[in-house]
Amino acid sequence: MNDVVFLSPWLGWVLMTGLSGLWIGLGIYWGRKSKSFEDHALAGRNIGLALGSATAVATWVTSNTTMLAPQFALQMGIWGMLAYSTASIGLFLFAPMSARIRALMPDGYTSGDFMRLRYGQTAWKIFLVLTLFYSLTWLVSMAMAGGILLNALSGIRYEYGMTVILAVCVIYTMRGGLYAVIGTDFIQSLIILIGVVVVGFAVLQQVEMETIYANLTAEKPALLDVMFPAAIIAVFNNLLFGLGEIFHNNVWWSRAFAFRQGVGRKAYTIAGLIWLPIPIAAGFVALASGALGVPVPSPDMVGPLVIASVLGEIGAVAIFVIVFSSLASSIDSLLAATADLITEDIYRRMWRPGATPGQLKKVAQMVTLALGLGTWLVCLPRIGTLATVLFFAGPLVGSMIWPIITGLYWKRANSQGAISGMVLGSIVGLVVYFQIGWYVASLVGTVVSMVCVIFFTVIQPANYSWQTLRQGE
Amino acid sequence: MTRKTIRVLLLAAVVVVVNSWAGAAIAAPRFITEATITSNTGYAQLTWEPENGPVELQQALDQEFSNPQTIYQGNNTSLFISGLRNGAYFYRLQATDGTLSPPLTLEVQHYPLGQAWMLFALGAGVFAGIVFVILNGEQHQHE
Repeated sequence: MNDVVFLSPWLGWVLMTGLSGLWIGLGIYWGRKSKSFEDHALAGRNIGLALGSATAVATWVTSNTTMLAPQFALQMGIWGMLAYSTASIGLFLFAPMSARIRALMPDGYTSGDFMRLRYGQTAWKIFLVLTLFYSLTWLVSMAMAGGILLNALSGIRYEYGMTVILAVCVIYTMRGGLYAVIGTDFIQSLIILIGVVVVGFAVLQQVEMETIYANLTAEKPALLDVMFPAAIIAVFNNLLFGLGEIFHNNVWWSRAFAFRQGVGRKAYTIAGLIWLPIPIAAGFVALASGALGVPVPSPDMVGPLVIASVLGEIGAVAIFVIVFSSLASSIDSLLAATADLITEDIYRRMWRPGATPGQLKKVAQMVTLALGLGTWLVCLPRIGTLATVLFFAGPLVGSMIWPIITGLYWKRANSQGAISGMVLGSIVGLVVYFQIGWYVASLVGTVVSMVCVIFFTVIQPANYSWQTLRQGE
Repeated sequence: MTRKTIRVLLLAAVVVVVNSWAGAAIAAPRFITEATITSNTGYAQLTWEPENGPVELQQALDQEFSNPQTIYQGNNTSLFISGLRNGAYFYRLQATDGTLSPPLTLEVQHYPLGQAWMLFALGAGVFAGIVFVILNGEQHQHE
């Protein structure tokens, strides 16, 4: 056993109960406007700039940001910290894409709609397999992280913490759909931002930069090296992983459809600017661990360990609240977006084309429940570290970047390129993942996919009519 | 059963218990990881079997531990180490009674820098291509 419990279980339970009640209450309150499937899935397509920016930030600040960013810094030093912060570039680049998506598909629902209409049935089905695998992996990693972190912070048993965080998100997402998700995201993003700033300054008060530098130079010199090979490799791998996640996933597409006309471009740009410093602050905390004399038994626990060591019980409460908020803000978004994808792309398109909006809303709610139950079953046995679970999906999402961007901007892009890009990119990327390591898998998957897409665009150029996307069929 | 027999049996039982306690006390702490591990990233997680009391983890740059450095003391059963440059590092655990674990060797050999920069350049090229497609597409989207 490692000594990493900072709060008494009863205080942990009090915090968890209070936060759970707050999210469920707010979710139900904000979700009362959800009447039809369009309300449930896209919040009436009328989200403004403030809520839009906040939901993008909150969704992208996952427990992986607050936990993995410090882990990256501890493993790969300054480069690792910068590598993680490059994930904000995905938000910046998705800003113009979201405007394009909204313009091309004013009545669209999901990223699956785009793949089906743009590349046809085969590419769409491959896309569904890849994106559902990624979404479920992300969902599982979030729920596992919830159980592990709440256990480490307060001694609440892994099974209980994981169950509560999942159940809370399932309840308010089922009840209020995207209205509830975006509303709670707004509060959660405020809590996360204030918490990270306060914690960062508190750590700086405890230890001087010179001390941190001297400690790193003496004990972990490679973390300051500009020439750190694994970290150099990881920079673009991580960047491409982030781009792949955002460009393809319905979490981001559903928001592009839900934002009011003209909001998407600004909202995603603002979100990128707000998000950028968060992993740097979180990573800095990890680099201070040696100077503060905090032993780290497991790299994914370095953030909470340092913060609780510096701030004591108040710090432990702060990190508990931040972690719970960041977990909820990501799990609810994933549940909603994945349930909508399954409802629209599988239930409606493959099974019941004539389903009414009311029926579709009910199906989306049932799918949300089923996703929650499935995730819970997978998470019960604790398997793998946070990074390992998440990065397994890296090559898959990397292989979808080029089919998506060329599908949005190139008339000549075609289904052969998209299909071969997604299939070969994923396969080769996964082989590299197991043969070399996660830090090159996304890069290789993206490169292979890019070559396929460009090759078929040059050899067999299509002449796609954008009108097909606008008409929806 | 005579009193003498009972005394002998009690004495034998005491000897057995004391011996078993002594056996437990002198059992050396042990790493769970293999005796030699390699890393091409400069980081590794060392794990060891739980002890009855705290352990001390020592690091040295030679097999003889001529100048050991204590890098952890306490009841944890693992430690994550990172930021190591190329070379061999030696670790051992010391229990409170002074017994030592068999040593563990960590061999760090980072990826070749040439290979790393090549992959960096490849990533930069792919990223530049993505940015170009989006920005160029934005400029020409109304055509």
